[in-house]
Amino acid sequence: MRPCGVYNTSYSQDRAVIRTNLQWGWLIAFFGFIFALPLLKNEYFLTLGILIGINVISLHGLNILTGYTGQLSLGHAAFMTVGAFTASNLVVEFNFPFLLALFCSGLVTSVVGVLFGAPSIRIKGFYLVMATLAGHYVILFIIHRWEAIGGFIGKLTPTASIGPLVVDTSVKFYLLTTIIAIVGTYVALNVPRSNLGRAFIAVRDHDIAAMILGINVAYYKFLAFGISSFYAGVAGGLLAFYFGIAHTQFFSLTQAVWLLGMLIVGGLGSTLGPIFGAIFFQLINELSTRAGPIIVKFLPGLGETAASQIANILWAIFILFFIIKEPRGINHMWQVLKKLYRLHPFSHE
Amino acid sequence: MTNALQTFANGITLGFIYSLVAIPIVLVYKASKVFNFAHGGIMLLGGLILYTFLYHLPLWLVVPLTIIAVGIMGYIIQRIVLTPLIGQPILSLILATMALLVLFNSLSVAIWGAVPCSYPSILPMGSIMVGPVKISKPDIIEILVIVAILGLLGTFLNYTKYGLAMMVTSEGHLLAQSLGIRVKIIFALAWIIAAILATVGGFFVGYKLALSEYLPEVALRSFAVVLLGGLESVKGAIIAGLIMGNIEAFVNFYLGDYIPGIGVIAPYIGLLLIMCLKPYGLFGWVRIERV
Repeated sequence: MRPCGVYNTSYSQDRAVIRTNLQWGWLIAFFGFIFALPLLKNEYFLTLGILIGINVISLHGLNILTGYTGQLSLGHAAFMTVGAFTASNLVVEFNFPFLLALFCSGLVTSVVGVLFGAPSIRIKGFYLVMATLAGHYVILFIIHRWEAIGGFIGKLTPTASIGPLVVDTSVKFYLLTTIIAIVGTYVALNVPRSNLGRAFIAVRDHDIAAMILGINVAYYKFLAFGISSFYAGVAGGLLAFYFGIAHTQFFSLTQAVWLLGMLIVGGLGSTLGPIFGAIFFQLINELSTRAGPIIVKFLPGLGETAASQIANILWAIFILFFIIKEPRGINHMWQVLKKLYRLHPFSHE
Repeated sequence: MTNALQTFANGITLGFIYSLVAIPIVLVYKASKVFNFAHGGIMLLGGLILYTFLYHLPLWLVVPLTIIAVGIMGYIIQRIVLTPLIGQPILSLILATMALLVLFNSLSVAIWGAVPCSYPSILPMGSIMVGPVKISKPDIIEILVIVAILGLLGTFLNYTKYGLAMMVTSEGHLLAQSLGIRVKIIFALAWIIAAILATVGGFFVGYKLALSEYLPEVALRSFAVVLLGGLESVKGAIIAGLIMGNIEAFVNFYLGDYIPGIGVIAPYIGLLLIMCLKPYGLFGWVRIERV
């Protein structure tokens, strides 16, 4: 929203993503910050950055599917598994170059996603959640038993390399993840601004009305599953190469629930939402890793394993808090804050 | 032939367990239109509370205390989490109960440790032969208890004031309110009954296997039962439970040697098929959406 009295006088102004000089300043400062992070030479911050980046990529996909098209999916973690195993197998068994393998794993995951998203033509809402829940377990079971691609042992991945450049340090991996995340964010930012995104939003808001407007609802639902799974596949592939192994253990149902939770906490149906959600999730995780042992010390009745559960407990409580108190997420809080700041001495526009 | 009969008997016992797990989910859905993904977590937590009481209290005190403790738990869940969410979009409800599931799992592991807990053997040991089929005594007790619970539940729903009020509430909240029924009390009642039944389910599943963080997976598999039977039908949950138990037992019997673990995944494949072919289940209400 533009402030009162400021009008767009050309189409390029109307279309612009970044509208003011201040926004340019913020953007450049933000890019400066994320690309200057390796200069601190702190492995811990880099690990955080890599995990946040991977989650951001994955969440953009889920956001297009759930936030814009309104199709609830619990299968996202399973789609990430497909991506992880495809990427590692393509590189190890078929000697694909890393980036091509990452792209192909996105494509393969798209096909799987469309296949398991197919029930969405007939059912929606709660029933689709059940179908994707079943899909999650079926996909994980198939990968678990398929020994040729790694099975329950998992598939070890070599160090990634792009042409002559070997991605062997976490600084390089951080830069790689960040660049992919920025490209992913750029695409995700422009999907809802295009006719594609408007069709998605129409399907979400009222599918029958969308059909009357001439939108092929089934086609756009498939497309949403395809795009969303592409993101999941790329994120899964990156995760496999970061951990050095593709394993079904990283992608439990809890992970799928957490991805939806991050989206809700960040803000559903906005481009900033996934970024806020991923950052907030990682912060809570780190907080509980630090605070966990202290909490356990003060509550002597708890068992040895309690410290490892603090993260899950805290995050579940946060998700519940956000669903009940602020279902539009951090993004909405941020927008409210911005508006307050802009209108500062006055309370109304 | 004997093997097939034995498999059938195993399927029936398994089916009764699935029914027992599925019925509270149906009950809560009927009353408050919330599909309780957290049911497995409540089973685990209730089962563990019962486990602690069994080791520390005399037997006659255990049952009433567990019922009170678990009932309070059900009420708190309903009051704190689900009352504010009345009228919210379905994603909020699903995610809230899912978050509860993970919360309860993590709480159980945090408080009771990751080691699987086994109940003391309070049920008689051994097994009896019915014709060529061997059934273990705990299984028989389990079936008897489940049938008794079903009878009580049927009487409650069809002949008591609150049960009838619950049936009305499942028809429509506004309708129930206009008849002078206090819908909030009905919601709370449904959750309390569901939590108590979940504990019974947790006890029987835990007695057979052990109480561990894998117990909620049984509840996840029983979602297939709920949807096969139809979301609104207690009768459907029983019949579908028996069907699904037999499917799992027979799939395990014929295919288990070739693909280990296929029996466990069979309900999910069934769930996918149900979703594609008959999403409202056998006895569910087919909802016609009007624009």
